[in-house]
Amino acid sequence: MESRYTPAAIEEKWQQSWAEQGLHKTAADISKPKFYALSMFPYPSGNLHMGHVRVYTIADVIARVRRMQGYRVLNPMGWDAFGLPAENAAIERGIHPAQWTYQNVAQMRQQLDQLGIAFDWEREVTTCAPDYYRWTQWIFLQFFQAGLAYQKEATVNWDPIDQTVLANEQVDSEGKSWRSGAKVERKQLRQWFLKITDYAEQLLNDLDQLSGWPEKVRLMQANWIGKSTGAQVTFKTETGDELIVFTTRPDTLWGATFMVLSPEHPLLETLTTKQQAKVIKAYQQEAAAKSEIDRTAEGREKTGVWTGSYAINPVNNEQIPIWIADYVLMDYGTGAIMAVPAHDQRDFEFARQFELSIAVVVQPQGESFDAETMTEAHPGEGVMVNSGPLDGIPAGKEKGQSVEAAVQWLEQNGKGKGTANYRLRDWLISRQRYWGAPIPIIHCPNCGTVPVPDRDLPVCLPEDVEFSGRGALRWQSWTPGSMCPVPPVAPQPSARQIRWIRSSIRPGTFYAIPMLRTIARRLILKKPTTGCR
Amino acid sequence: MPVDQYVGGIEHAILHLLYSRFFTKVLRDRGLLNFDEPFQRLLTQGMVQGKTYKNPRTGKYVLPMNVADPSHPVDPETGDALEVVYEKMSKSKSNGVAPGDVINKYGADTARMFILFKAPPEKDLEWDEADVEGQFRFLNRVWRLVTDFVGAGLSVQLAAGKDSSKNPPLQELSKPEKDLRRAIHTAIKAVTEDLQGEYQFNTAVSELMKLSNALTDADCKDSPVYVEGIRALLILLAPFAPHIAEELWQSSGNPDSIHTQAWLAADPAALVADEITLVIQIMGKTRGTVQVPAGADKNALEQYARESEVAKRYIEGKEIKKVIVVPGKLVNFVVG
Repeated sequence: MESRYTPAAIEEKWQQSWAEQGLHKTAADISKPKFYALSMFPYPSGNLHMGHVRVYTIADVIARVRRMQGYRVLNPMGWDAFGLPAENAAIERGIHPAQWTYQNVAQMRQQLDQLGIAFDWEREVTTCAPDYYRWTQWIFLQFFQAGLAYQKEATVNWDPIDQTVLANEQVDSEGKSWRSGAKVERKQLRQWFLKITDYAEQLLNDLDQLSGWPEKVRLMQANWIGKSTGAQVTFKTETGDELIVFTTRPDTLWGATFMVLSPEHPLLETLTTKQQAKVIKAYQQEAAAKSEIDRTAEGREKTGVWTGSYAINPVNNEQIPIWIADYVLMDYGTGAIMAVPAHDQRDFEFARQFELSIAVVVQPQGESFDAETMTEAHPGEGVMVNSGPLDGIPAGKEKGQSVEAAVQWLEQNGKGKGTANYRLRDWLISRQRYWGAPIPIIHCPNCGTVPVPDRDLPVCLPEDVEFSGRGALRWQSWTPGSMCPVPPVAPQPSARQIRWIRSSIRPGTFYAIPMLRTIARRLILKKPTTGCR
Repeated sequence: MPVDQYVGGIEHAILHLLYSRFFTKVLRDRGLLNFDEPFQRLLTQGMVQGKTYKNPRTGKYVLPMNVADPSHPVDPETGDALEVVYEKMSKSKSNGVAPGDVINKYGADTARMFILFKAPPEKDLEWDEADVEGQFRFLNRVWRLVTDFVGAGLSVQLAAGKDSSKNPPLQELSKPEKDLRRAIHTAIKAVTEDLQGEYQFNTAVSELMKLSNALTDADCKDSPVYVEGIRALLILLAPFAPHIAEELWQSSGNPDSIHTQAWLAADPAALVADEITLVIQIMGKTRGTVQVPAGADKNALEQYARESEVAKRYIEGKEIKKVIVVPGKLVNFVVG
């Protein structure tokens, strides 16, 4: 035995010995209680930093102690390997993203071994490996079959030179593409979404079960889901169309003196009068060029245009004008709001700017607000006035106050219903880029969207990728005859052999979720083949 | 099956976790899973921050390589005295520390020990070279302790299982043996608790250091209790510093890996202190302390107090009006 402590003389020796003994393998003895330790998978950048060292050391201590305490510990490792950085690195270096990724994985695996982390490397997963994304695709099909995956037009950042979609981070402060320098356009594209909003209520309620989570994280999740309760109210237009709005303050309906639609609202085609068509069109184009953050920023000067049409306020049958303004977003709520300028500051500013009428419906005690003289909205307390059946009821969301009474009245009179709204929106999973899992849907010219049958998974990425001078990865549109026309992207030879998980991932026995980077590629079928009748 | 313990950064607190929860619920509703939530427990670790030099006047960062004298850092361009702050490690500030460099200089075990010791896991951690060296020195002390132990020929007993962990003959132990055994089992209890619940790795490492000190200072290095102490130190150290623990374990004659050993359970009997420190007060003022048997009753405590040197000095020749005894804590004399 050495008399001096020399880490270099012992650490590598034991790492090799442990690997040879298979010490970190998940125990087969199922009589022991299980313990599943998981660290968030890193992005394979190629270099381990101190933040990584900290997270994997922490998880390692927990896993090692539980193993010694008699648990059957599963402590796997994986790589969150799809995404733009690999694609960009590949463009810069002129190598395939797979090559770059697997080189980095090998390097980082070695660095983790140097730290003595007890990962069961036989359970390693790499999200860009066809054997892994086969299950990403399978899960997508589960969602599709459940009616939870759908296509919808959505706005994207479009680089007209590179002919590609850009992430928000790739657009600079002047609205230009980081790579081509082109003025980025906002473009409507048909994209895939997962319907997370169907689960908003459960995702919120079940936070109560998570006593083993930091309070801070639970709160962040609750805020992100952003539940608000109120009512859905239907306004009829002169043309007979119906505009549905969600409001958290249905009690102020009698004070709704105009409506504002998102510039992208589909009913604008019928609502816009001939005289207004030109200005509406111009305003729509202007709004399309702006980012969501710019559009909703507080304190900026209100802009908007009248459509020329009116709606009928369902509670008092008054005619109220319909405007459009960019601060109303199409994908939040219903893309239409009722404006109550006397009691909402943004609506108040809008009304003053365009000289629209204001009606006070909440009167604070001891004061007398007047639409003519008020200088700001009054969102606070008071008693309902000028509100028909609600007059005299104290304004507020508590039991016995005006909101409850309003919902009741709306439901009794068939004018609306109590409901909840969420800030959470459906999850856009499409990326018009190469390095991601292809969405296993066939876009067939004869029969539309057809899911790829399970037996034909994985749908592999094409290999005939070209690197254009502009930098964007381009590839031939491909015709998957058997669904997998090319062999899986082979890992490049590296210091250590890449191991693949084949049978370990079975739902119910092994379950890990990557930071999913799913990329929609349209499978264009010239001739319908497999799975397409 | 759900993850029992998930560990990761707070930057993934919203989307990644929300999407994972969503996936779980959808697959459950498809009849593919039988649980509601994917992650039973979540630990979000804090950032690792590096030493950063900042000019307080200009607000600009000065790269460490441009600081001539780290004990009196000045801006080489303006001559201003620099402020030393800790900020998230980044390339632009050049305040990062490469894991490979630390491993080459001190070894992986030291890097691990430092990271676990420096801050509670959910708090930010300031990278401090002096504290890294501190952990390296600690592992060196453990190394010497066990090397001396092996040199003294005691490892034969460890390998043969001849230590005081099984059937401890408590009553026959000498006072130094009892004290050491209490230190051993206090460490087992504390480290085990720190690795349950809130994961206080930093205090767990402190406990290991305390145990190592107790072994170094022990007056009973030929006792089976000492053998038990070495064994406990190595097993408790194993999850934190797996390489050195394994090396010392196997060089002590154990053929199997330390990582396949069972975790230790604290012996409640060993934790019981057989003596307590009794505070002696005169007129409510503390004048000294005395060691007394832990089981002594009120009368016995008063007797021990009266006979103590401390009390004698103050009560001799005076009339004792009243004696207040708080069992397990103090005796207060009210004198006239």
